[in-house]
Amino acid sequence: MERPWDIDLSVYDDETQLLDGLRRRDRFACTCLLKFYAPRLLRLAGQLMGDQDEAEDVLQEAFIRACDQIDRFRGESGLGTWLHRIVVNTALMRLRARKTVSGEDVEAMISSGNEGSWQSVSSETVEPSRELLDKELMDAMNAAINRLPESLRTVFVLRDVEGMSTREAAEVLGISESALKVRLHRARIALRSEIEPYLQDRGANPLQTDRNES
Amino acid sequence: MSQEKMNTYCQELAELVAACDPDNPNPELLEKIERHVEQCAECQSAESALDRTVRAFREAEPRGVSSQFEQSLVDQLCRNDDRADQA
Ligand SMILES: [Zn+2]
Repeated sequence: MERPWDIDLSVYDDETQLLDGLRRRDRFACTCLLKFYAPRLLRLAGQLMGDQDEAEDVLQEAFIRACDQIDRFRGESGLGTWLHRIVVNTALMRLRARKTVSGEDVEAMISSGNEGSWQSVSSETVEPSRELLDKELMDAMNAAINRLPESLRTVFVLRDVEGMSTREAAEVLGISESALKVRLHRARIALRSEIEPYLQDRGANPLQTDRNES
Repeated sequence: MSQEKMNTYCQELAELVAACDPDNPNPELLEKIERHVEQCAECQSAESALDRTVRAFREAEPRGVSSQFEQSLVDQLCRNDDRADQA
């Protein structure tokens, strides 16, 4: 039996054609949209929400909204960029509706561990190449992002993972650029601590920094 | 694998960051943090390692969407389309 999602993607392998299909309310066009963009956007939603079930809710809401509003899409940015914004906005709206994490939780994350546990980057630490970023490290990174308090997680995901500029991320989150910078430092400190054991397990090559390479 | 949590940032940075109000940061303190990160070799190494991890993480292929979720969303989008057709 042919299911609606078992479709020939090549029908819409061009964005313009896909858009035409979406505007005509072509039954398969929404499926194509999903096939093309859902995996990456689901990951983004998961990182922002810190919860897979909620991420699916966000994605569902975002895709329905996108299909409903497709006539408003002006093509000034790519379709992927437009969908990306809808997903980010949908996730942030849901997060704003949630109770925010207290400042004490954030402080506890930053200052966890006593002074004796402070440790410089050791020579056993290796650079993660794409090959080394295996499932275990990927899962560790995902879990570490999910454990960040919401106020740090959203900053880290938008700024570092999604590559938004400081100004853009600050605008989207409705905070000042300086507040964003401090939160990003906090997030990075917390993440570094979380993924360090996984990096240390991955061989004995000395750390090569970007600076050393240049 | 050791599951012991370690903080690989230098203590000076962590203290500066912990002292900085994330909602209303003191500009001088923030400036001090940024300057510290630029000048501290230890922080530079740690930042660089994290940058590379994040870059690889960003470039990694995402996992597929579960077929159950995909089916459910497709059904919903099609229903929405049907409603639009009827309207
Ligand atoms: Zn330092």
